[in-house]
Amino acid sequence: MKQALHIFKKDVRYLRWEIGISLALMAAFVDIQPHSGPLTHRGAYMSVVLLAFWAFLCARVIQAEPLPGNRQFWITTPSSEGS
Amino acid sequence: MSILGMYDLTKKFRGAVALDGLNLEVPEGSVYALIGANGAGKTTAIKILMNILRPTSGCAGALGVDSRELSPREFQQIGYVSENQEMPEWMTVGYFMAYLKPFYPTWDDARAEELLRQFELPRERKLKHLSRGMKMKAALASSLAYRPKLIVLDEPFSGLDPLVRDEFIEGLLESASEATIFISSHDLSEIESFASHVGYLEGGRLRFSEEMTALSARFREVEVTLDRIGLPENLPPTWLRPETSAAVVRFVDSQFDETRTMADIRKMFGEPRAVSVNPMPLRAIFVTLAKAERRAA
Repeated sequence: MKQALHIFKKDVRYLRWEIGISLALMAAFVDIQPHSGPLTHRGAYMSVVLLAFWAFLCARVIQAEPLPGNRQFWITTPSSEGS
Repeated sequence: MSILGMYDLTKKFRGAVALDGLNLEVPEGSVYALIGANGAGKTTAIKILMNILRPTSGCAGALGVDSRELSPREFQQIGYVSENQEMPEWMTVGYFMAYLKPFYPTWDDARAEELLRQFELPRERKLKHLSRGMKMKAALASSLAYRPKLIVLDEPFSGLDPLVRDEFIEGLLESASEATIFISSHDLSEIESFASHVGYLEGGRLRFSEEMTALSARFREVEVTLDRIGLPENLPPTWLRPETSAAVVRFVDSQFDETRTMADIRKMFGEPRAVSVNPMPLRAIFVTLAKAERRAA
């Protein structure tokens, strides 16, 4: 768990700008869209932007350390499955 | 199983044989250089050793464990640096070292600091902004900071300038007293300066594996001046690359023994006018073997 958290912290650091923008977009969506009632025009627009940005964030996470290949530095890093 | 060994190791890529029954054992505490031309199978052997590739048959072992069974416990004691390793380019040198530290219980902060200072690596600079030589030094520093028992280096000198090579070797040799070093390279002049053992890989097969001193002792460039012109047939098979110009015959004796070689010379040519015997640097030995192999093929 300790190592998993360590690796997660590294990923957060790497993607800090993207995560920050994602949180800002979410805050803007919450601000624009009323808590009850149907989706407003601006709310719908913002939800599309938010979903697109999340897709971009997922792609960035996957591309940061691609699994295929055998030249990545972490291949011989001793990370245990259980820690 | 020794600290590092390969036993009948064979690797095929879609039928193409990269390693063909490779057998070698590396003595503990040695600096073992695996040399060979491009495509000889050096990198494949190291990748199997590091469990990055699977052997087709046979096995390899590190720290007494089959490479297919290597666990984080063994990797905590192995330092691996490869010429084409992909580094986390976005990290700064300092963060890269700090990131790796928790994975290694034996990480030595003082040693890490010393290595950064010795290699003149700027802590705040991102890896992507380092030159190739600096990147290799960063990779080596991160692999030496936890004082590994086994250091495996795959072509570490490729593309490095002489100054960086010297710094790289200096850093490496400081760890040599407490580790076994296995290094693949075709940079023979560098290897010769610090390797204690050498193995020569040709077409996936090990041609020889021995101590550097023994290798240097058995290879000699021999020049024989005769009274007549011509090269007789049926020369001893240990005489490589025989050539003649006027009354001078030159060859490389791959099993030099003063008494036996002189007896062979007298047997082949009669009493010579003069004989000169010269030691050979590793590079000349390598070139001789590679050319002899090519001629035989």
